[in-house]
Amino acid sequence: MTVQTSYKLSPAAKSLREIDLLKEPVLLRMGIDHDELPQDLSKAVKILGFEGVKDDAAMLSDNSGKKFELHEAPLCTLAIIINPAHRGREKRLLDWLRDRGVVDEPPVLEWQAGKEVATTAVIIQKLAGLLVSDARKIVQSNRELLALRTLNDNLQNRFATIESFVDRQGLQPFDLAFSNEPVSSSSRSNVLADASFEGVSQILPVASAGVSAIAIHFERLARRDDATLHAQLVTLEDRQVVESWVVPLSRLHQGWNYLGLSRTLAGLRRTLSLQLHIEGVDDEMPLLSLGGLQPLEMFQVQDAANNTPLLKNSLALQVWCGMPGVLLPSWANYLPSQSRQTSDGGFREMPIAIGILDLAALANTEEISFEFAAILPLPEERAIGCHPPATGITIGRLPAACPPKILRISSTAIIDNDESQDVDFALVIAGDLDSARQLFSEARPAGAGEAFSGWTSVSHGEEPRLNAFITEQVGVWQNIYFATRMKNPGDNSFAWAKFRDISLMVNG
Amino acid sequence: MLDQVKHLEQVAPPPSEDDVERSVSPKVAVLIPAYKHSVLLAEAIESALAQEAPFDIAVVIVDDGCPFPETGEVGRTYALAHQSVFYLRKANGGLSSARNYGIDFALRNFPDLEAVYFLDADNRITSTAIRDILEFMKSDDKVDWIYPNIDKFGIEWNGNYTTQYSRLLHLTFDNICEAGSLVSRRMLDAGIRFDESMKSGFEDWEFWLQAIGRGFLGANYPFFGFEYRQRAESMLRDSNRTREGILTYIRQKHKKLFATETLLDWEHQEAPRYAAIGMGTYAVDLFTDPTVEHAKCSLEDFVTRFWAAKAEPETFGVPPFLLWMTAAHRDALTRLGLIHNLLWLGEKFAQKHHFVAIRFERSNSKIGLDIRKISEAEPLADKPFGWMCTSDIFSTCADDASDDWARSLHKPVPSPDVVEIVVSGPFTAREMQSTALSPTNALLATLGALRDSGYRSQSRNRWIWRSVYFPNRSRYFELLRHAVGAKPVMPRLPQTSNPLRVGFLLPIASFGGVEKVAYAVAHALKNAGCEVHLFLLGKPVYNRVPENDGVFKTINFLADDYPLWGGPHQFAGHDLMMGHDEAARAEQIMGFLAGLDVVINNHVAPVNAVLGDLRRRGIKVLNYVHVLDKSKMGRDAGHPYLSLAFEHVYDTILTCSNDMAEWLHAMGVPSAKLMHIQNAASYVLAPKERDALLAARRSKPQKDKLNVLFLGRLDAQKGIERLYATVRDLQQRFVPIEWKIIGSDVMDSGAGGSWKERFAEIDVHVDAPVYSSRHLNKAFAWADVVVLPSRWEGAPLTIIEAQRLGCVPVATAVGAVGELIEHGVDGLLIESTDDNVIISEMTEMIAALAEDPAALGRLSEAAAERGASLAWDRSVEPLVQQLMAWFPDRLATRSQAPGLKLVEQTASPTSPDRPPAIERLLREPGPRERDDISEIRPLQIAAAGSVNMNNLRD
Repeated sequence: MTVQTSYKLSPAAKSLREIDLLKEPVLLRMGIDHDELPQDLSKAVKILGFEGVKDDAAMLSDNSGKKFELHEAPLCTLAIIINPAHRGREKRLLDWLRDRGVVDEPPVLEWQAGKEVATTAVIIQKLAGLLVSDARKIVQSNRELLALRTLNDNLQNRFATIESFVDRQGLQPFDLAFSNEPVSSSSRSNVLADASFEGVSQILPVASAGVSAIAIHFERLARRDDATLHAQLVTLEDRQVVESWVVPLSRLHQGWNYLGLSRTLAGLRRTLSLQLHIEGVDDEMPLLSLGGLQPLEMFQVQDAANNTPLLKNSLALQVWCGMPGVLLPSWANYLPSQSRQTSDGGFREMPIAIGILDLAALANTEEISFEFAAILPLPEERAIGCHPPATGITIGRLPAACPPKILRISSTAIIDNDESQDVDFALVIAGDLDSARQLFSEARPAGAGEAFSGWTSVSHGEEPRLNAFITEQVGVWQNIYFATRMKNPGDNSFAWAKFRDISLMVNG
Repeated sequence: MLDQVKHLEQVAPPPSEDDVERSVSPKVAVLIPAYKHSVLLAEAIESALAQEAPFDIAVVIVDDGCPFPETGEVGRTYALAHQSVFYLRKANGGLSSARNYGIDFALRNFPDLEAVYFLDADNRITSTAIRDILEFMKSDDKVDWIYPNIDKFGIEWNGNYTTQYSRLLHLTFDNICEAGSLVSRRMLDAGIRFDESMKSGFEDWEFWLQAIGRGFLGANYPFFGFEYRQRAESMLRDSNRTREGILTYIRQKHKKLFATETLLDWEHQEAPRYAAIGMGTYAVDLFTDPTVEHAKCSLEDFVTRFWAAKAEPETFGVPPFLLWMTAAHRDALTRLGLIHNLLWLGEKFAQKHHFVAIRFERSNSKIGLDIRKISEAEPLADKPFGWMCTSDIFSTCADDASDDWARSLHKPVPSPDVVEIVVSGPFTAREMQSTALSPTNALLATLGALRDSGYRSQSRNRWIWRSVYFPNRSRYFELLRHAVGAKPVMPRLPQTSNPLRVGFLLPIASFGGVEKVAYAVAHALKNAGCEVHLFLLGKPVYNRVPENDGVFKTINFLADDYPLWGGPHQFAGHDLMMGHDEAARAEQIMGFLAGLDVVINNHVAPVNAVLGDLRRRGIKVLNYVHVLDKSKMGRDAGHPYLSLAFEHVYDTILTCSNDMAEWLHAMGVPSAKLMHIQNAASYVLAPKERDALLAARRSKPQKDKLNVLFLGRLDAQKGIERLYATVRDLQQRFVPIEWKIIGSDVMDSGAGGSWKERFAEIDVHVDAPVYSSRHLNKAFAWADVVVLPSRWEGAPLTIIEAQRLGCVPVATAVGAVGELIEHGVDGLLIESTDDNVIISEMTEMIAALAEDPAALGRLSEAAAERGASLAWDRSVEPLVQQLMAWFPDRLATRSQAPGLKLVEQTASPTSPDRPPAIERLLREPGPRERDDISEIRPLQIAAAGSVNMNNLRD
């Protein structure tokens, strides 16, 4: 048995019975034993007995007769079914619901032998009413969407008119919003050389909205054809990479270098951080120019790995602003961003959002079972644990996590325990579990919109990258399935198999 | 409904069957109270569901009885569609009750809960907000809530809230912590909840105040990702319309937080008012009260902060007042109890002048201040011991193209406007020695460090892009001033043991009876565990009495030509001032007296104008009344009348006699407010020494002359004409008497010239006044009889001190003299008010005593016994009991005795068979009935023509 612990494996310390009633519709019964109700009805909906009110909490009983307290009104009480002999007692329950802010009183239906169908009809009538009500809301939502689309069209037309006017008149702004001029320093510290592998970061003194280009200043550059400058502009309030650049050092020059954005930033104002690192150079790092001493620690140039200041200076930099949402003017001499380049026909590798990893769950529950979670989202590691069974395979699922038009899915396969036997890993994109199962078993080749990486055997210490290419793109969201199995069935102890850094490649 | 669920599945990632089954164990609950934001609610929920975090987050919607069915529909739909969403309903109770409902639900149902986040239904958060702020909160164990910068959309505005969290700012400026903050479970487990009675806004402000009161602290996370929807109406929220009313409620509810001493403490910790820049070491002490543990930094750090504050003044600050003085000199001022006063004055003068020079002068007889405006006529006399200035003026110097202006501080008459504070006191020789580095050089070196700093170039650029909302971090002292209605605020903090702090207010500190009583009571209160402070509002000199050294923790001089009498308003023929009068200097006096628990006013007339404000701030205000004076025309006048005018501002009025208490009661002061403190000798005399002096008296060989002493001012109040006539008559009758008259003339044109000269004409020498206990003992031991032919008195200490050494008092029965002498038992009383009768009776009495040594001996023994029965610790006990009742936890070492508040209940040191004087007076009509008094008053008035209000002179 594999021993594996994490916070996800710890059961909730308290019964969630009360909050369960906040998650589904229920029927409440009064003066009727659970066994008196048809079994089909209790299969269709949760039915609970109302026993009374004690200390402001309702006392309910479940199908076994076990009593429990309820402090909140159930999310959706379809009806109260009552023994006619107990008529009048429902007032206490209705008062209790009203005290908890329930405005729509549930219907109170008498349950009598021979009149079950009539009673059920009333419940159906209520459900039908809800259905009609929902349909109306959907219709209304569609109308609102139509109105918004129309508004959007109008705005688009107006912007087009303004854009054309601005362009014709040569009015497009491109202004220097902030400049931190380089100063000569006797120490001439080379921050790129002093920083860790992740490079340096600099918080910008200008809000995101309107930013068109960032200029950085090099005091000295080594001519290295194979080396590149990697720059990213990240918003600190939501950690979005709003722009990135990969520029060969050969294209940089001494003095100011302008990193142009694909579009001038628009939207809510955020704080920007510029992150820079050089790849392909082990010695003679380019010498970034620094501004004067910076008394505000937050704005001193930082090591991007840990956000601690490297020096008491800021980077020498310029921030250029333009008209939000539009391209830079053609006369601006700047280095285009990566996103501009990819939008011209390149590929983009998109990591799966960490929040999506939380949705990972075991798919083939009927085939395998563990005393612990076989599928374990590990967002802090950007990974999902997928524990293989001693025999057979464990299949995990990320529901609707694969957007249309992707070209490839990739992930790194690792085993996080040196006592583990070798494990086989595979990735699949498919519409449902049956299709995935067929692909994992290699019963058929991948069809349209599907992908299969094939099985890769992995030993502890290896970190192969799995790739699954989609044969033919389809226009719908698909599920991602991932699976592990023991290379040699039998001993799955310590088989801490993980899919790490799952990413999708999209075109354009 | 199912369709709706399907619809939602297209909006957000659909929950799989497995997902539905997975139990939710949230670390954070996002609480969304919902009322009438039924459409925008979905936006708030979506932003909560979009969180990217490696832990579970519950979204708890609390429908606060919203009348819009749509709210319920949205809530129910999301709760059905998402395992982590919970929709609760409750009867309408307001925002506070909805939030509390959500808190209680989360605590009850989520055992792994670490924090809650309050998200209003019309606001949003970015997808990384909860993950980042929880991590930020957990990185500092001292922090229990994280609040955002305010990024508004709709009406777009971004506010910079990124300064270090300050409770002082939070209480005195505005609610700097938006409700949309992350709050630790620890805070919620401590029972902190929103006040459900607050339904018009600022309930979040009050919530944070509860947290502050329980010792929790917040912090700002600068990249929070909070998005506040600002619409036109929300700019004019009801809470802003009713702000003052709500704030009054909050201030009342959190009185302790708004107390001056609390705010001062926070200023000391968060935005210290003074930077003392060390000389030589260049270590910088940052404090409001230098005697309390405080922050320190290097000069380099100070320079960095200085330029940071120039660039981003609402985010970074430096102390607004700078001081250059050695630690040894600061310690010397602390030793003499002057450091707070000096900083207070330095602050005041630094705001009026460019620089303040500080110089010490050595004096063993006095502690005092002299304020000199430096000019060609009055140049700087010597090298200063210290300099003070504002950081503003220093900043201007740092920005200046040249430092020539500041460099002229080396000259006797510098170019800047300079005022000098000369501190006199018993400094040691070592303390008077100058240091190797002069403060002037230290000041200029600091200026050089600032001017040469590389940070200087950045000071013109603003790097924080969000808009300024907060006040200048270097000017929090102004927030404090405004909050406590004081300017400047005395920088004195409570000691760690937090003893009860009692301030004694005196007009001057000479050797008068009022001062002596104040010092004696202070001594007794100190013995009872209080920390006593002296405040002199008149001449800034404390004439040192060695016996009193160490009694007062601090001595404080107003040093501002404060008018000790007068004002534009009238009460019963008395000029007086009100708090709003400019001459009352209300803010200055409030600042001068800041940080006390109890104030005892000892005949400082104008200060009455501001004592009401002090009392409203929770300080107990007492008035000590000694004597009913006479006006020039002989009308009853003086401080007892002012006590009537301001009776409502006093918690208790102390009197030195039952007679005064009775008068005040008769004039309308409730007896519950009156407390009689029986006078005792003003200085301590060891029993052994007293016994020795009494033994010497008893064994003194019979002389042919009676030794008679007069001790006091040579003026009409003291009945100097009566004394002169008596001396002359006794000389003419050849009664064998040796006279000793000790006192000084009072320069008064109405007195008809020098009494000293007139006594010389009849061969009686007048000795100079004596003040030390040694000289007083010597005089009383020498004298057989002390005479007091006064026209009016309180309860003269001279009688008590004379009796203690067996010296028999012969005195007119004025004021409370009758309470000190039992006629024919321990002294002789002259009841008449007619000058001729008094002269005649006094002559007869002295002659009789000269002839009857046996009678003199009996009177002497009884007087000595009575004098020995009086002690200040016993007299002050009722006051101590009262203080214990007011401050039960501050004099913990003392046990409380019941019911000693009323005058009638105070313990009397008189013999058991004598009923308390006030009772005797009330039930025994006798020679001192009111009618008699009214008859004698005109005569007194006639005789008192030369007397002014102030009976405090020597």
